[in-house]
Amino acid sequence: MKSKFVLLYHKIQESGTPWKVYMIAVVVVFVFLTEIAISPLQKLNALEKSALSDSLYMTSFDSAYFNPELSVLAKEKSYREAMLELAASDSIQLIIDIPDSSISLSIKGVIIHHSRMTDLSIDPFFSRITLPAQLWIFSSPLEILKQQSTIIKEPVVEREAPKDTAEANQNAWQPDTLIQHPAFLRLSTTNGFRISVEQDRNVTAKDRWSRFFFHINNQIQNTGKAVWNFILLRKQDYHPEISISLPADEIRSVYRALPEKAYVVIKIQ
Amino acid sequence: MKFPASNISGLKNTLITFITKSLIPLIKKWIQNSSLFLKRIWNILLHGIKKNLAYIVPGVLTLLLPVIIRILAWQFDGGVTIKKSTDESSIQVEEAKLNREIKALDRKLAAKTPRSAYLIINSTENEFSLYQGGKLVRQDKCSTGSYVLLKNGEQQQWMFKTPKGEFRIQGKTTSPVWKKPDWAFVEEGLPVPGINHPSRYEYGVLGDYALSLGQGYLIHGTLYQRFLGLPVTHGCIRLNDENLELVYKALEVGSKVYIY
Repeated sequence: MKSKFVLLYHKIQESGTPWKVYMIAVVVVFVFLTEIAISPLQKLNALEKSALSDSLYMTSFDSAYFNPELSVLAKEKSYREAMLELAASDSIQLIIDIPDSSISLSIKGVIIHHSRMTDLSIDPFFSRITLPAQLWIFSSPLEILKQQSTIIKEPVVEREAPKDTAEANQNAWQPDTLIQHPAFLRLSTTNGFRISVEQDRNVTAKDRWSRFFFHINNQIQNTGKAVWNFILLRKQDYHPEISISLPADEIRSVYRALPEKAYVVIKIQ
Repeated sequence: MKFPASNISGLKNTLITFITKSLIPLIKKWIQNSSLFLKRIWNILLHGIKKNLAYIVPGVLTLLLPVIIRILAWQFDGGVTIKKSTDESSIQVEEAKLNREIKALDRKLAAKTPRSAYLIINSTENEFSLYQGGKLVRQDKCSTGSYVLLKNGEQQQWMFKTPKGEFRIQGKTTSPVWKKPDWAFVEEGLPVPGINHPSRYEYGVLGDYALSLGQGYLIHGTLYQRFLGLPVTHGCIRLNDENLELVYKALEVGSKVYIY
């Protein structure tokens, strides 16, 4: 092995490129990957710091909540507080209940749509959030900052008015909005959380391609952003994700109902 | 065109001979060649790995070390500085307090749901749910806005979509008469008549009942029952005769209608 490293050293020397360049490249890659690797921990610490620095919140936080039975009650209370805050809004909002494996829409506190998740996976990050931070984050609705989807929000069909009755009769239309696209949805919330909702059945090749492109697009965006952050010497972002599977028509109902400025209440286990 | 029986058996024999003597050996040869090709690739790969081990080891380490660091980092707890209480009596007091607070919040949340009848419309699925006393009474198909954007030149355009949000029943009528708006004439390629022209009034097209949601939006019946469950309306909500009667009788003026 040693001789091979010596050979490598000679090879580098022969190639004309100074060995320092190679070493720097390796170090840069290593630092970049390390930054990405420790980003969840940094985020966790940042969230906890924010919670602890909120003096008003910390006065209401009782250390007795660390008791396992009380922590469950405290989480229930914070969930209801968030729901009540959500009910003050006039528009349609989202509720994700992880323990119940359900996703609901609510308007002014009335549940208007309820669907059961067929599959669910949560980033282990959420279970690492300490109790004070968890109660602090989830006792208020989270704003949905970005909505990305393969579904058309408003399937508008443009039609020119007919010139006369003959043309109107010719164009006597049949409903055509039954053509549905595969349903994949990603919501980005405050605190950098992501909620990925995808259809539970990918039967056709179109479904599978849509899924592939939807995810690969996200990966490319994330990698690009990570590289950009690295170049600008910024802290790396980490986006813990909740992945939910639902029937496609349920996703369409949820996505089309959500207004541009929407909020979500999340109940974490 | 018919083939004689002798010709068909001859064709069959030729086909069998072709499969056994040409096709099967060809496939066998192809499989042999493929496995040889894969073996060669594997050998090249192994040889390459052995030859370039000095490159590969630091490369793999560079890629793996951050992962190892992440795994190690996760082992460290955040270290909360809050003193954890273990006093049994204070825990009981706190438990009772939390339970009281949860009950109070539940009461506040429950008060948000109407006690009287209310209607929920899913405009994506074209489905309605009628609730009475907090219980689902009827769930069935309806029709909502088509999302057609009707353009009449550059000046005029109408979007046929059902609005979303919370609404209240503004009024209830029996045997409603439809006063056709301008777009109804434009859509049919007809000239738009005067505001109170007799041709604007159509009888019997809205069914036996209509419930107004305000701004011209109605819950009414339809002659086109085969389109129920499809997005075909100009923004109104169409129900079949039986459901319309049920909804009409259940909802009062002021009852809530939620559309999403």
